[in-house]
Amino acid sequence: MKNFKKLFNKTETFLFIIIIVFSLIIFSLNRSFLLPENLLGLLKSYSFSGIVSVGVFLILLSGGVDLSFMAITTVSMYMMGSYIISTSNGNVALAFLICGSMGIILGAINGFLVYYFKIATLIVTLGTMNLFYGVMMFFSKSRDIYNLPQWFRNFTTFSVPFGKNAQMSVFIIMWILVILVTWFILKYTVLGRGVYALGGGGINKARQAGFNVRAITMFIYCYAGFLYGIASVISAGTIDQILPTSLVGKEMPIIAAVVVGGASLAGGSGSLFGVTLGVILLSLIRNGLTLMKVTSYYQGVVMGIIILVSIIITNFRLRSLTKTISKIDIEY
Amino acid sequence: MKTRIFNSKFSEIINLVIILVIVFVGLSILDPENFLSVSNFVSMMSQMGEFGLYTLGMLVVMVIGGINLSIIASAAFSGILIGVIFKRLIIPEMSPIMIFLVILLAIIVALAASMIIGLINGMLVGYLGISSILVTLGLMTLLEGTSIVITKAGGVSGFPDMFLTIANKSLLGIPLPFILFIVFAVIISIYLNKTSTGFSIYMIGSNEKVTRFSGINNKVVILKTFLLSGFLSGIGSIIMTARFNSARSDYGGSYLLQTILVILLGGVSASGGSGTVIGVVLAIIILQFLTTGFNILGFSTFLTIAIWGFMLILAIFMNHYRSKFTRALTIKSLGEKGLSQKD
Repeated sequence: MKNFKKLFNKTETFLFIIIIVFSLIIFSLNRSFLLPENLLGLLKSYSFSGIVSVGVFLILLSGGVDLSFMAITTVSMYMMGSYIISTSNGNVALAFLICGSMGIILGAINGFLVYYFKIATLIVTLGTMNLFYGVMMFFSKSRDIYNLPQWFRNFTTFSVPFGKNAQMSVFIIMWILVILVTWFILKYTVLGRGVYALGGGGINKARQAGFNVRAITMFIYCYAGFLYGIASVISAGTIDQILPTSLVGKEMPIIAAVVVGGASLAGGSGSLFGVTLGVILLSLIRNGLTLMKVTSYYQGVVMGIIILVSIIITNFRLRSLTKTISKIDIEY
Repeated sequence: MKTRIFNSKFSEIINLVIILVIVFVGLSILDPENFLSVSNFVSMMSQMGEFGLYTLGMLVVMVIGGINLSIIASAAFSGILIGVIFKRLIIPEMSPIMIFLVILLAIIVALAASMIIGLINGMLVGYLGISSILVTLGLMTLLEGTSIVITKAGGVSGFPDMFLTIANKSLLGIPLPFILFIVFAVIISIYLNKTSTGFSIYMIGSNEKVTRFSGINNKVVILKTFLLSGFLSGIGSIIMTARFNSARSDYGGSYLLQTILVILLGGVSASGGSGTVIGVVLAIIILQFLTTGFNILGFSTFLTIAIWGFMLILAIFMNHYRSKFTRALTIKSLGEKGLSQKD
């Protein structure tokens, strides 16, 4: 009974139930929805948001907020794209190396500004978003990149047979790997515990507890940057070309997914599983709206309502949680 | 002690005036014909109107330690409401008095809508204690979505001439939008400095817990601040709609970053509790000069975006070192008096 109650209090349980309900609604409209090939196809199309949201979640968990992620992804993607079309003997490892390290460098700039100037992360990343994107677009003259080489295409269309006629794309494998690695870091390493400490207690308390706050801050932003960087491979692979204008400006759905997944902006709470469910739920809703022939105009309204409702629910949930933990609330 | 605070505020303003003069002289030398013309100054002043009002709306919320990301979306939404009212109610053979009444109705509706949005923000932030970033982000998404639904991603245009005079009229050669901006800047400055609510806004921004324990009703003050922010964005929206003679869901999109940039440039701390209206007004004028200058010099949009981002980070640097410097001064002066300051 106690376990059941505990389960009921979790955001993840709610999200899971809503996802099931929503899937059944879509299933009633379209009988092929629950076929494995369709589900794997959907997961493939969610994998970009999935990987990026893990990075956004990490920063949120540490008590910050990131707006520059689409700009970082775009810059990494463009750098990688200009490299792979200019070289004759490139390979996938090099492509990953370029976009991954580009993401780390840009993430490190964010982390540096956040740690040394102790300024609201929203403002830092608002600045770097415009700086990164503006500089790149200025120098690249916002040209699109077509004709990606065959080896790159071979990689992005690679898939593992799954069941009878379903295919599991390499993107889904990347997504699962990212989740597993991040989960391991968060759960079993000092750095990962430090992220929770930083978000839950603030810089001073984390430092008093013996955490190296500088290392943790830099790690969070670099690792998130790395995830944005490798996610750019998926973005380029999905549409088979590199459009520098395709991502920036679409930050809100991802932040919404992370928040819906139960991460609080105050930091220190939320789980990777919840965030992943949040991504799946919001993407499902978008697919469902299209399937129900709701015009795309209404998507913003639906998103806004979902964000507002979920932050209010999270707020009440956290409040009742703190009430059960301690009755006396004396702060210094 | 008092003189020192005065000095630090004063030196901030002196800094901004120096930057203003440098930018002004620089642009005058680079392109005297276009920049120094009367028509350029008139157009700059009318552009400053709506932007200045949005910035004031953002300023009060940032002084209290929050942020209002929904300010531009709210203004665009109110503008669309104005447009819809005109489209529905104005018929060609209407008498001027009726047109005037319709305009009055549209203005009242726009202001009411903006203030209701402010009220919702204030309730969620003040009474439920949710972070202002999230609340205003959610409301921004919702409002943008609603605007798109109303306009079907298009625009509403063709407003009565009487309404357009709000943006086109000028007094003694000064455009009305600019006069409105200055009037509201003075009002907000008086409100922040001379009323108890204004004082509470600064105090909540610097330490929320202390104000709560000293008997200030934080919730009400936060609510009032967001209400004021909504009201100012409503006034800005009326000017913007009249100036463009149309309303669209994406109008003013580039203003959001710029309002935050200007406020930080104007010496407001990003964590709240400090900042002056005069500093922000000077920063607005600097930004307007630069925007016009970039236009005249033919910079690409993306270069401009990069420069804004760079300037935002530069403003962060400046604020950081300035606060470090004033902090060192305060500690020194406290040390002279034999007091010690705890972290």
